[in-house]
Amino acid sequence: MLRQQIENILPFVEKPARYTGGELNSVVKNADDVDIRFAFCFADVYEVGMSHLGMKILYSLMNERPDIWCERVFAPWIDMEAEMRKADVPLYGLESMDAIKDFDFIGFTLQYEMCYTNIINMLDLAKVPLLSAERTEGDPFVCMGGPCAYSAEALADFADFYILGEGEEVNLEVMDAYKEWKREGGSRFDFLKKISAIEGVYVPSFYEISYKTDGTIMAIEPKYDFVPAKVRKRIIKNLDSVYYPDKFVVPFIEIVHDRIMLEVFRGCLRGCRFCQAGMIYRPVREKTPATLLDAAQKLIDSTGYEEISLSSLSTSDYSCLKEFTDGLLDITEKESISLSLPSLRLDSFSMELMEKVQKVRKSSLTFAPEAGSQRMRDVINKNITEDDLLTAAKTAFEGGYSSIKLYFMMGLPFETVEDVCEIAELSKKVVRQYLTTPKEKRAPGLRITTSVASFVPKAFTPFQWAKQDDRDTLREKQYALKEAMNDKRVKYNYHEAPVSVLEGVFARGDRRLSKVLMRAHELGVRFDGWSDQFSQEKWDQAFADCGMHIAFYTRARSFEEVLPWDMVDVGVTKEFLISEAKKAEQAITTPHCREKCSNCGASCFGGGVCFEPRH
Amino acid sequence: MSQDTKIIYRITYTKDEGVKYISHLDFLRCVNRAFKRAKLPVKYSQGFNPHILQNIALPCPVGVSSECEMLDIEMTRPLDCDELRLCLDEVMPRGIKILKAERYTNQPDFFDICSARYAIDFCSDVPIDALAFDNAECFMIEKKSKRGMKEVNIKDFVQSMHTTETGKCSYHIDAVINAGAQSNLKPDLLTSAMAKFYATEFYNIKIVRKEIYFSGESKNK
Repeated sequence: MLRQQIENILPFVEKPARYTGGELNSVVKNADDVDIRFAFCFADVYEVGMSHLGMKILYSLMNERPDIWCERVFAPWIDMEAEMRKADVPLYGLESMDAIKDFDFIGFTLQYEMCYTNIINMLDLAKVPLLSAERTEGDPFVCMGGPCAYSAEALADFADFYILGEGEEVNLEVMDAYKEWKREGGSRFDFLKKISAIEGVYVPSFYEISYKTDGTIMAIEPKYDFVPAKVRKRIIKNLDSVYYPDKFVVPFIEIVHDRIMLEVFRGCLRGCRFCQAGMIYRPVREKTPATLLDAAQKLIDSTGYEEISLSSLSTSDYSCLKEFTDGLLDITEKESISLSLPSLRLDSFSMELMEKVQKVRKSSLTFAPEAGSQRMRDVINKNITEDDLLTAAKTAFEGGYSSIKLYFMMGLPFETVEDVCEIAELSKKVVRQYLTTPKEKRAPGLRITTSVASFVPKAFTPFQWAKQDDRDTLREKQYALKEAMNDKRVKYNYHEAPVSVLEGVFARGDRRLSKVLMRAHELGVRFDGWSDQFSQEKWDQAFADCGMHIAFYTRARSFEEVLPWDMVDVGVTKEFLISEAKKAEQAITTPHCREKCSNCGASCFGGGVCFEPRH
Repeated sequence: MSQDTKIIYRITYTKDEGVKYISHLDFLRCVNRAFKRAKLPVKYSQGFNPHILQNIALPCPVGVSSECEMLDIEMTRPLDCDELRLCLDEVMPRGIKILKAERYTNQPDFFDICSARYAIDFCSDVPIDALAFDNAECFMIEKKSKRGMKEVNIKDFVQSMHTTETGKCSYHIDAVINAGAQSNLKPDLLTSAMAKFYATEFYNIKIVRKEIYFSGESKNK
């Protein structure tokens, strides 16, 4: 029996509780009582995957249905993988401890590109044929969703279908279609044909991609007349009435985000030009304070968590923030649990709110100016001035904070080395702001941490055509900045360039990269997001073995080029993205959605901020 | 915890197979959250990070399930014991069953725990003479102590043990071994010592803690 086999290897692995399930609010059903078994896979370790809100929502949503049993599956860590392979234990669901190769669906959520090799490794561990074309009757269907799914062509050979957009409605539609298909009897092709008619479902094998001699795409054409030329993403039009779980699985071991999360709204008003989330989740749709407070109370009662946090892309922009946080603070005080705030915009209300929330301990504050120079902040449409930052820093220091984290990016389009070095200047200005704060007002122990990530151009952003800096250029900029940062009071962190470059390759990749992923898998590549596991040499070999070039994918594209993800419609139009790209070049900013509508195209969904009354 | 003024309850509970891999610290957090869900009048410590005033008897080793766990918890007001038991049982993850709740008055202190009874099932690669190890006077093993690894006679830690054959190459041990603050032996150390004694490998090992004894208590059953 599989359970006994698993038990026999657990004494030899770190953190065995990652692999045993049984947590409070996890759902165990009788396999004979359900029609559909769904393996919800997150291609990273338990602690990371369990922190993901989307999984919590869809897990509960599917398990509400008596005919579906959704189980959780995470990537076993290196030690567990070795034991599983040695003992011939296949990848299993945490709830039933049954092998997932016998499930009806294996679904992956794509949260970041550097988990792609883990997906292939997990399919391998599950003993499921890796390639969609090799799966036959009796094999599960492998589907993928999540933010990367809009442009995950690199996984096209492995996925039977993608689900694009918010899953609360479309997932259940696919499940219903599956039951119908089972009743009718038919081939795998028949099922894929059936669901390709559902808005939001993209079946990659139904599209033919042809290439020009220079390697760029000639055309993307549907192979059959029943296939839509463009697949539009799904959104939940009325977010206030959408399903939200009243229970979260409460893990035994500590996970990354070990707390209640309340989703305040989806989408973002701001339109930062580097930000994929800001474009693909449009339009902004909010929940009402009443709905949120009700969810908060239910989750507190059902989990016993000691902390609650808010989730959205820019919580300060929530239109009912004051009413909501007042209500929430009443609850958290009564229940003696703490409220943790996400990064907020640098305005006075946010500072006041932080003051209210963090009554006892002043931890560090995080600000994200994203770029050092004002010109660059205009290029990326981050509507923050140096004044905003320094005023906020002043308020923070006077309020007793002495530790500030600053987040920046380098490698942005139209950026010069001088722009990068301005990051150092800005950091030092924050230091000076501390020094000019009267001694009796400020807390001792100044700590400024400046973290600089490498920019990765993403699909469906105004920068999707931009050249990505190569490893050497990024390294040069990193060193230049290090030189300019000659202040011991600033701690300077930067990301490793090679990982960012690969992330960029897969973020804008085409389906020919499936071969490279397969080769990398054969070479033993996995857990690329973990710096101790990442191997540039193996990746270089994988590309070389397949006759593929990283530089092809990091290059600049023309606006006319057919992009690998042109069969996907996220609402935001290409015309809007092109106009934003042109404004970026001239460092002209664009107002946010509530100031002025810029006709991005997201109004096609018929809901959200696009239809709010304007004053 | 002094017994005169404080309102303390001793809770007896089981940990089954499904939760035996939870470490002691994780288990503490799990219990904390359970009390929170139950909305019981538990007493919190003072200070910046208030925590529940609880005390768990003899942390269960990772990988061992148990039929006899105990914890003491302080409340701000007296409660009906049956209600407390039901209320707690309802909010526990499956895998933890509350057997009993009783007002702590003159029960022995956890500090006086001296031994524990374990039921161990295992399979061996080759048949073994089940009594040979039981009757051995001495078998030296490496044991971790506060001052690094130490050679000790494992039999000094075994108060009684009886091994029986339950099937082809499968065996059952009923053992009472030292446990507690003064002298402690982890049950998995017993099985690994036995495997070494018989020069074989054991597998399908299942260890269940059956009973915890306080000094002065009778261990005969």
